[in-house]
Amino acid sequence: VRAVTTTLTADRRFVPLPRWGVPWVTWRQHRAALLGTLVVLAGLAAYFLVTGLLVRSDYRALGLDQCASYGSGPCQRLAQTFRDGHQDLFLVEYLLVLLPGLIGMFVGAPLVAREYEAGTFRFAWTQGAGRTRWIVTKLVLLGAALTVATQALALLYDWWRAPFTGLSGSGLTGVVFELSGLLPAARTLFVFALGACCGALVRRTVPAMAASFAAGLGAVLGLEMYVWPRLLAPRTARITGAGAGSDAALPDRTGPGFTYQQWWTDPHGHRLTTHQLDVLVARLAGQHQEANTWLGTHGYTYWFTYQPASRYWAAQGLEAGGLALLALALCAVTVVLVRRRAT
Amino acid sequence: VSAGVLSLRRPGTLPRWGLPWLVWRQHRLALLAAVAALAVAALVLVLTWSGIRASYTDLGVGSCRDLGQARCRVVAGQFVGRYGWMGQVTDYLALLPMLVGGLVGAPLVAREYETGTFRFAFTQGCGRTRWVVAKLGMLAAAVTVPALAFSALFATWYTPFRPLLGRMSVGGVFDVDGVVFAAHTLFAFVLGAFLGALLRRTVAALGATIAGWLAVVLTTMLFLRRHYPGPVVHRVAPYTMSGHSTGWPLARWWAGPHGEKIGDYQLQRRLGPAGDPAAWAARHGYTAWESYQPPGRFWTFQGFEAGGLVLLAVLLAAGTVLLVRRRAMGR
Repeated sequence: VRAVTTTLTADRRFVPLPRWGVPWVTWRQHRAALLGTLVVLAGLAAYFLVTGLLVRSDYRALGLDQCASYGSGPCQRLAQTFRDGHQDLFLVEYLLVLLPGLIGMFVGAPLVAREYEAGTFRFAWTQGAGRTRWIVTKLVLLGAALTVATQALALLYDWWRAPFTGLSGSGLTGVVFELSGLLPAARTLFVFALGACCGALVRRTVPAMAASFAAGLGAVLGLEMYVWPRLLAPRTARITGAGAGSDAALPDRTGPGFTYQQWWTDPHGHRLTTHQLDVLVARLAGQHQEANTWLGTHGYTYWFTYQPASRYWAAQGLEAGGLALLALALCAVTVVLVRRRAT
Repeated sequence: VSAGVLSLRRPGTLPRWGLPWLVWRQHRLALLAAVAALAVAALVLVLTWSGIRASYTDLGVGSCRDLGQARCRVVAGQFVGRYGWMGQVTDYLALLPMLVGGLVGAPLVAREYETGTFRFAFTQGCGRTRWVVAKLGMLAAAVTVPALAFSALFATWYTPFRPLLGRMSVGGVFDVDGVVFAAHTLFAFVLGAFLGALLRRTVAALGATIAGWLAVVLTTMLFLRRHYPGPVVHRVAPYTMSGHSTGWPLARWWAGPHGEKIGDYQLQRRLGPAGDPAAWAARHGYTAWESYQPPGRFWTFQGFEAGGLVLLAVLLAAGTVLLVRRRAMGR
């Protein structure tokens, strides 16, 4: 009997873990969150597919595919009619910007926090797999699933937006920049990692969710305003003459819209303050139809900063790469927090 | 001795501030976070306030009586153009009620179920009905009153833009000004509490609250709001602005001599790329028409929408109380 017991003990120590054990646990614990995310993404994909096909058929019916430029003549009117006719479709962009934050908050924050809150971490971390493998597998599998799914939707969005982007001729800027290319997937991964890290720190689900959404919003906005423009400095350009001060004269741009600056200098090269400019415009408004035209033709210069459209992939790569690196760092912090936590 | 012990236990009246104290202790973090979120949004308004007032004075926008006048068009264009980015901020402020109400409402009952503490909470001296009614009532007031205060601050902040842009059509302004913002917050809170009592899981309830709130609010915004009272219909010159810049333009179309209607877009499709709708309309006796909601209906619209949402919130609150009362104490 003693020999049998010894063999059993010895056997038990060398029993290999089931190969799909931790992935199976990950799926079972997070299937509701993953399926919920998938339903939302599938709904958006269906919307993009159906309206995208309708928009393309309208595009051909109006003959916009035969236009050489949309800046003047009947093609300009056709483009305007086309845009006006589909104005309501763009409401989806307003919500789509928030989607990475919501997905990250709902999948990332409960990841560790729920185990702490329910006390189940004592059970989860004392299994054969060990807590390090447990947390690393969860972070990798869920992070990869979210990145792939949101990137697929971003590709569909790019296809859906293409007919309108061609018409405006101002490049991929503002909300379109933030929703296209690599950014949606990178932001989702970032907020997911941020949520997991907040959960490991705060150890309560709902506060971790709120904190990850707020911190994600603050981080993405802050980085876009202060950090990315430092690393990829916008170009400065100026316009004088009749076209000064108007958006139409600006070259094709890319990047989020709110990072640009514009200002005027007077004929001596001094930069006008907002107050000086406003007083000047108020004085001119009584006598001239277009204050900007008057300024441009009387020695004043209009300055602005911008990212040229040719830098689209550089700007996308910088922001997406930066966010992916930050996500990696946050995941590492989460693993350390989980390893250090006493059971 | 035994009689003394019994008499000590039996007539024990409940402490007067027992329930309010409990509500505050259990939900103080959520309430402080909700108020902090509104305070951050308010800070954006306060920080941009002096710049907006200065431009308003310097440009002399206030002295404009008639926006059709050339001088006023120039200064108004300059003023609105400079702060155009605030329109995007307003758009997103309109979503704040969803997060504020949802984060306070969804865990209200769901967390007690999820952690099993409902067995303790429902069997105290005050009873579960009073427990849930007190929680719903007090927290509803605690999220709605700051929301109303925020709307009042927003209305003051928006005053310079009001004669230029109105409060009806500009994205988000209708939903942040007036009483609709507070009604949206109340609705999100009660919807969260109801779904929490129904689903009994916090995260699932929060997800369902966000989905449900968006469904109701977007449906009203896109499909119902424009019909509260029917729009005003009038004839316009083709391809001109209606002149009701502070109202809410809804639709434009061409009307034929026999009353047939066709949209500009459909007409262009019918005529093909080479056709000019305006020329075609003139030749066939068609005239251009427009429907819009005049700016004077702002408070009527606010009343309709807020009233409907408050009614919905009362029904959901009743549903929550019913669900809590019916819940068995077992599993």
